[in-house]
Amino acid sequence: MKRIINTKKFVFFLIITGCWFQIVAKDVTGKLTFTKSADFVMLAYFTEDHSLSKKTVQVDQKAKKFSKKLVVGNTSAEVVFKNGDSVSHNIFAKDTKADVTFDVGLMSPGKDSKIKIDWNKDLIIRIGCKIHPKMRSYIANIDSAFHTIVELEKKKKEVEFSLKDVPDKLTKLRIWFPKYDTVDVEIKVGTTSEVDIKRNGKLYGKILLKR
Amino acid sequence: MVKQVFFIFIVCVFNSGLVFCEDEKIGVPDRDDIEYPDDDAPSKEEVQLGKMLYFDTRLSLKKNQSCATCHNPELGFGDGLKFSLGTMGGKVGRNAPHIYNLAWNSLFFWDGRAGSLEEQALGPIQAAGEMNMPLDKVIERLKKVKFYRDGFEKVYKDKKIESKNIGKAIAAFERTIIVDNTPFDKYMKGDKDAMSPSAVNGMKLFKGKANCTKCHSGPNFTDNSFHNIGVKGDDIGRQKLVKDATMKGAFKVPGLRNVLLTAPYMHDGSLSTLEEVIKFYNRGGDNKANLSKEMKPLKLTDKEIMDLVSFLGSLTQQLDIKRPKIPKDD
Repeated sequence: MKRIINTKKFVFFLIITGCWFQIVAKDVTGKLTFTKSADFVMLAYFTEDHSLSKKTVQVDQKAKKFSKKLVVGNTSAEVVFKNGDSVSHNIFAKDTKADVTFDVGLMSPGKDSKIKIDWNKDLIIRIGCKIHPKMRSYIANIDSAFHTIVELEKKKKEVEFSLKDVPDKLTKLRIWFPKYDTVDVEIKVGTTSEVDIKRNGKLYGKILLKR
Repeated sequence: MVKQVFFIFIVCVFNSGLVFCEDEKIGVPDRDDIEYPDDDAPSKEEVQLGKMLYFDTRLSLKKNQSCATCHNPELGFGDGLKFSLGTMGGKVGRNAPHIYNLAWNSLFFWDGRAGSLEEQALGPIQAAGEMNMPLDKVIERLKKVKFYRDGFEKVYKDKKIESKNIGKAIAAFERTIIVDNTPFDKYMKGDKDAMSPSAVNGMKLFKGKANCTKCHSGPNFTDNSFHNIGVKGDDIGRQKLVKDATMKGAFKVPGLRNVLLTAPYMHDGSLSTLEEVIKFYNRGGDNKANLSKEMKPLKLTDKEIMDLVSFLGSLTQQLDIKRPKIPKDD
């Protein structure tokens, strides 16, 4: 009887550890190392996946800042802008690269407004406030459920991130920064990769990826 | 039950107060927060080159004006005039803004039409009503001077005296004009005797009843926003660039470090003293058309106005900027 219990425990242990190893194996981890100051935000996503379906994305404004440095949604998703601040704001986009222009008008404290993501997939647009030009945030049109957003701080030069439970078949990872060149890298199970963070051919840091 | 509801109410009020106060912060500027082009602070040589250009009258058509004519270090980096004079003798349309702590700024000129200090630096040189000097003529003149030929070669890899590098050098110098050791800064760092009791009270009013930090917030006392504060006149300001009704008559919120030295005030230089400025805000502006929602009568007493002036005085730090000896043509 005692042996049966121990066997059961052992099988349970195997199942648990097996699951754990499976999860670990499916994670992709990364480390950003900036040689100078860190960028504003980073978005990493597997481009082969198309399973994201977000109907609504929310962006608030507080203390003359957007509540999030970057949000993602797929085509036709609604972006709801809130003004949780004590001053008026006026969100707009005038992204000539992406050919996206909108202006939600003056938003008094407590008001909200919305737009639809109607620009091309894989384009990331910058939004700002007409009254407070230092405010900025980004909206990405992506349909990959396997993505991560890392909000960066200028003085924090080393940052780790991970993408959880990524299916083995996804290998093409795109890493986007506002200031630096976009990096496309292939990362297969059991491999590591180191890529440069560059702008105008100049090196600004490294990304170490493990899977 | 009543006690619990009251407790929750107090917690909510307290927390909302914290959120409210979040954008009201004022403090000491952090030099590590300066965003240099390409993340690199300029070299001493680049700053020196920029300083020479800043004070050199070769940059104006009639060789009678430099950047320092309208942004004069002895006059709070302004010129003390309501409207500056251009090289041809005519008046410029707006008051010369000071250049203190522009290293942290994002948009330049009263209407924010320049997106970088480099771009801004080249604007008045070329403007017909200001220095009226085409950039190719500036380059021609600078090439005749050994100091500039050697200086540009040493600082810039492409070795060229070109407009881009002239803008970079002047901007590099301007980013060194930093005020961060005023009585207010000393007070914030713990020296509680650095400010007078009147100035301390003025600071409380600045953050509270006087509503100043709605826009004059952050370590440089500006959130870099644009507002129509009700100055009389027909200058459309920011609306010339941003075609929006809210931007009609809106101008950039200027930083207030060394504000005591930068009179006269407002984009049209229409107010001569800080007392006049605070009284202007106290009555909620003069022109109510298209007035910013942040403007409202403040009901400040004379004593409170005096305290606010004292506080603004505590943002003063005299900078010792020595004029360089301008090199002669070869």
